[in-house]
Amino acid sequence: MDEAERIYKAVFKTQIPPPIKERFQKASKKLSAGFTQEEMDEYRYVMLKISDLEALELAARRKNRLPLLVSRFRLMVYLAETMPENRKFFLGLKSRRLIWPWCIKFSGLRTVIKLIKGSFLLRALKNV
Amino acid sequence: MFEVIIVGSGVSGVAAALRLVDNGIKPCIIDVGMEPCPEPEISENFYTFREKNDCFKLMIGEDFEGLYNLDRRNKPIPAKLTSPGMRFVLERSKKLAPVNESGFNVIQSFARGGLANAWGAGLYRYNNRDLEGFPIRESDLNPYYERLTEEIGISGENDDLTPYFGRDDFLQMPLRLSANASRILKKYFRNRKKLNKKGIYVGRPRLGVLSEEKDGRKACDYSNLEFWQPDLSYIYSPSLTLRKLIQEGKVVYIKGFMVKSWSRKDNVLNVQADTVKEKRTAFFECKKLVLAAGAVNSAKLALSTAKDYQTKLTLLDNPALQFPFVLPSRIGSILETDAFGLTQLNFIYDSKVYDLLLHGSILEVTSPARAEFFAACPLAAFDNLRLIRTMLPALVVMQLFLPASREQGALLSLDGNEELKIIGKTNDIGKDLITDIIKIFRILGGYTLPSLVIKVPNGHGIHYAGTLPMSDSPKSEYTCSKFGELYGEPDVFVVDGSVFPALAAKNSSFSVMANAMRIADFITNTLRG
Repeated sequence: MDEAERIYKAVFKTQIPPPIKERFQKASKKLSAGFTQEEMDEYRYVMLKISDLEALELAARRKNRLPLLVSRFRLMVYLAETMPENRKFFLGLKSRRLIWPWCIKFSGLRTVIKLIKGSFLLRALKNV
Repeated sequence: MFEVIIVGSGVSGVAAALRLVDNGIKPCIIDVGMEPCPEPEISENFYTFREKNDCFKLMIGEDFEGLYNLDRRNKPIPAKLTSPGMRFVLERSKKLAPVNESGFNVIQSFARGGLANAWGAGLYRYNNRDLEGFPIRESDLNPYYERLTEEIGISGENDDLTPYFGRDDFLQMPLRLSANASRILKKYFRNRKKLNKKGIYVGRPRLGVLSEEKDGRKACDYSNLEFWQPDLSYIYSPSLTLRKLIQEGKVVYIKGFMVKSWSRKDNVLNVQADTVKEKRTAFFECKKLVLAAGAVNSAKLALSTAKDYQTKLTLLDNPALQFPFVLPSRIGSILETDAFGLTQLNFIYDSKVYDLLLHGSILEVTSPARAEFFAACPLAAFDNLRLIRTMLPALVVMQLFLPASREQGALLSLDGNEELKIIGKTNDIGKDLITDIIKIFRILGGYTLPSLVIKVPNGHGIHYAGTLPMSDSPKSEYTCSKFGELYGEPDVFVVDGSVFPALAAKNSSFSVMANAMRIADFITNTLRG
């Protein structure tokens, strides 16, 4: 899987639609100019070695590390929102008024697990 | 030779032109005049459109304009201005007027109609309390507010906020409230006495947004396209009036020129302007020159004409805070796709404790992309999406403006390369104030955490003023008379926010427009003897 496919899978847990992949590649090129060579090397290493990108991105976002990875996640979210089939990911189209406390608790718990894993991954990266 | 040349077509330039036309004068407007790209117009609700269409062009754009704030080389700008449909508002501004900034992010527009193309259309009258330190009173502006209300079409209501916004008997009905805003207003009425004792007042905004048809302009259709489509006819923009005046042949509109300076020979003013495309210089003669290029560029013009590379002028902007409030009773609701996507309610905090009058706009967040909220959510990526789906239908954002005084103002100067330099000062907004507002909002049913409150960057209030202040008896350069005449420069008048010596905590556009008309009347009188 290439970077676009992996990031999309990490955020949305499904296959990336071809138009988004193409746009992601073009936009990545355009936005890379703001990053240093070191940040790009670090990002390339992450893409090669780390499988749980979602966990690593969460830890990196919280600790202000890996700015290119965090930025690529945001980029993917912006591009994905434009597709009609992705409305379900972004818009509250059905009522969750009864189940939202469980949804949020589940999300919180999942985030904690991901954060612990991501912190270990981030520490391991520091030692490379 | 023209009787009057107006520089710029923003709120003040167009208001001055309208008044001159009312008085039988045909002014010439010189403007850069960037215009929106002719994109196909969407004639349905934003969310209905999104059901069937790939919105890449609409939301991101072929040149990835919508990702402007993701590019690390750029200083962040408000989300609305990154929308592809709105790109013309800031187009070429960095090239045409480069600014060396520190501690202040100035936003400039060279579009026809200026920054008002992307405004929230809040139109609030200044009262005598707001005009403290001005050489004019409320009664000087009232006739012009009325003329503008007739021209623009303002929706709103005379309610608890009337003492702050002024009584207006010609308002259109207020816009339909969203479910979130209705709940806040209900809570306000239930706790009115208690809140009023604390100095809190909540009511309907005065908006240049039509709730009823007017002069061929349709009423608001709650389509949520406010962020995405320029020139929505139900939202007033000065370009609407300008277009009408051009079509009727009542103004001469010269587009594609950027005014650089003026000189004087005998009683004739000679205005030098460069073409934007080929860098050709042209000269235009007039009897009266009206500067309406905005507080930043009018000041630049004055400094540039005087070849003054030393003086530092004070630039004001309202400091602002953004409070995201969640209404617990609405969490998990279905997203309201037909809410008006801008200001729903206004909030006034007339605080005796802080000796401040604060003005808040409570906004729905149905118009911007959901992706805008992703970075602010604290969970893992997949869970952030769930949070967005669940929480955003229950979210409102209050943009709270604070007054701006000259002591807090940024300093603006010009260097030898004719490049502006703006140095901002840090505005320390007390934590106590933030905590107080959060507590007060709990009574209105909204909850947030102090850590989620965003201090808007200096300059992003986008209510620029104060660079060429007016006073009863101006005694120094770069100040103006009560009628906007620049000291030592007879026949040169300033009509934009530059002449406001202070900024009350409310959108100043309506008062800037009214003041521009007042000065236009004075110009007419001097021309007609």
